[in-house]
Amino acid sequence: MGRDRKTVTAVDDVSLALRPGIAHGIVGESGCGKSSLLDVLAGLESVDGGAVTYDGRPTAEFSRRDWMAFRRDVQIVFQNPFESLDPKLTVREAIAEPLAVHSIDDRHERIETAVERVELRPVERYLEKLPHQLSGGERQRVSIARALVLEPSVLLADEPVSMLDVSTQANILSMLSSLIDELDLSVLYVSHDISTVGYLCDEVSVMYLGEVVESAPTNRLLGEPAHPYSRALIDAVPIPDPYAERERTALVGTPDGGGRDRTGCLFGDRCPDRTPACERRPEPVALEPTHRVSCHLYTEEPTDETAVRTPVPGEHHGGGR
Amino acid sequence: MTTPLLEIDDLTVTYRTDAGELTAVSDVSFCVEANEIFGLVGESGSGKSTLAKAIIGCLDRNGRIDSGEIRYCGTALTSLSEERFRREFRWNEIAWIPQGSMNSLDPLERLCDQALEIAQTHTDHSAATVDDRFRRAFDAVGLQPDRVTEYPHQFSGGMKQRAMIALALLLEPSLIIADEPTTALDVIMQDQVFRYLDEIRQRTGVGVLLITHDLSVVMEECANLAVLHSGQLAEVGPVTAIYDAPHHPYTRKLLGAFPDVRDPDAELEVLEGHPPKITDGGGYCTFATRCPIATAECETVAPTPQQALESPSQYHLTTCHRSDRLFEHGRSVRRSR
Repeated sequence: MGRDRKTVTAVDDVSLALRPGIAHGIVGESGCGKSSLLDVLAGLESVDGGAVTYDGRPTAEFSRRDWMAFRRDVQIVFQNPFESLDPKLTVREAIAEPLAVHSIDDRHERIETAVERVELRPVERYLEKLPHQLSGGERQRVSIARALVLEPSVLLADEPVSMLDVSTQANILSMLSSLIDELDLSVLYVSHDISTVGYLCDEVSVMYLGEVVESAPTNRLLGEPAHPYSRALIDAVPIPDPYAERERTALVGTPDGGGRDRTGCLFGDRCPDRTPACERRPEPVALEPTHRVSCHLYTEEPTDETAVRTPVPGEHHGGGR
Repeated sequence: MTTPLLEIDDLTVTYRTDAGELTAVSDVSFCVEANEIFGLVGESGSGKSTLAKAIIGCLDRNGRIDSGEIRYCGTALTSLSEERFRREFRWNEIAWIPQGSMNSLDPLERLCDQALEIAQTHTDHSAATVDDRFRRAFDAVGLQPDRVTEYPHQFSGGMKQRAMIALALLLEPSLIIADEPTTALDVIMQDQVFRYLDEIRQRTGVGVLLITHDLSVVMEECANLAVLHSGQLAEVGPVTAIYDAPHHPYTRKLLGAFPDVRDPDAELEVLEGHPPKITDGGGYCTFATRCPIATAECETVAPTPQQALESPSQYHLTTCHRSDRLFEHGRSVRRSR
């Protein structure tokens, strides 16, 4: 891509399992490959290596009919509700579209149920409105209703609240949270803000330059982050408490895609805990059966004594309770 | 008593619109001191950006200051001619980082040329002086001074935002109005931007009016804050006093609406609806329609600022008819942390 036609590897060797009924969060900075990952999972981008398996079958082997079923079962909610809705379609038309694509009848009832589910009440008042007559939060609710109208089992959500006002953000988050439980949805939720991920998700994967560097159950990751990058992401979140003594992030700069040819740890150039061992790419290590991290701080064989550094779990503020 | 850096005194701003006269800011008063970051908080439609534009003398054409005064070091800005305001105050004394400002850099001009243009409009500094100052400002916000000759597209979002702050610092203003300076950035870049802003404040004593919807940022960065709702000041005071005992139901709701990484399972406070647009002149509490404890009085009488009950600070004011009841109730349910 780009003028010099360089290939950028946006997502590299990512292994991730989304289990039924689980909300899984993906966090990382802008440019770490989160959205590319979603595009691949949704079948919008093709993969160069590896496989996406859905319900036990690789999507690469999907027939047209399989894709049709997949696209009914897996729905996406995009980041910007100001761009993701067609400005010329009413709420009813926008939500009817996926039903028409999948030739589903009794549309009227399904549309009303979907609108009811996203708490746009009274339903009749919203059905004939156009996007410009709605607030940002209402638009995002419509996008969610549009995704839910096909009764999917998987929802892929790309920063669905980052463009919204605080109060609206809280409303949408708490609504999503109850919908996940009520409809038994599996959710992949992508965000740079680990506090919203913490609120919504059961499990979290931290991504850096296209790789998952750590994954764990949410409370474990927030309480005892192992990877220095996970700690940085948590440390950077402002705390709504004037007495909290948060230290500012020690990270400087931004994820550097140009450094991808390196053979060492991709986070090495920004890592506060860098050691000579980081010249080699770390392999994932399981700290607990459900807690995996790719960092030399946790690998068994330090290459020289500076690499021996025992991280103290819970020394960061995430572990306060 | 010394004169505050910035005084907003009983300010009312209205817009002429097709739907009638819209009251965007209504009888708002607060002060920003030198060497402090003061937070101005509210949702979209609360009037916070209007207030910023009124201070910098850049209201939209259909907007006007109806009553009240804005004073900068004791000088009433509201009675100055545009010419004098531009020559003596804008950028020189009061710099503005507008909302979405990383997109307000000129894509066709090198950053150093944009700096030169600002300096030549407002001062008679030589080009060499401007270049030197701009390089130092770049350094202060953690950018390599050599990169002043680059174009905006060569920078990432966070770097553009810092370049914008460097432009604001160029003429060494005493006050910076920063409107949502980090809203488009991810958390790590946001934290970096605030680190530089705070270092600059400590070094130069600049006063910053930080306008944001993000109360968690304000709780960390600011000493004092004001909460706006539909143009009315709901509450103003030191962040600790307001955090310990919010005296306005809106503030209380806002404080509970933020996810906290320390407690990911806590329920979020849900705030229904949006700040209403006031096109009938007001004369009532603008929060009444969203308030869980509103009474008939709230819908018919505009509340005036009152000293917050039992607050440790005499500058803690609330504008709520029912704040005594809220306070009594609040003491028993307050989150203990």
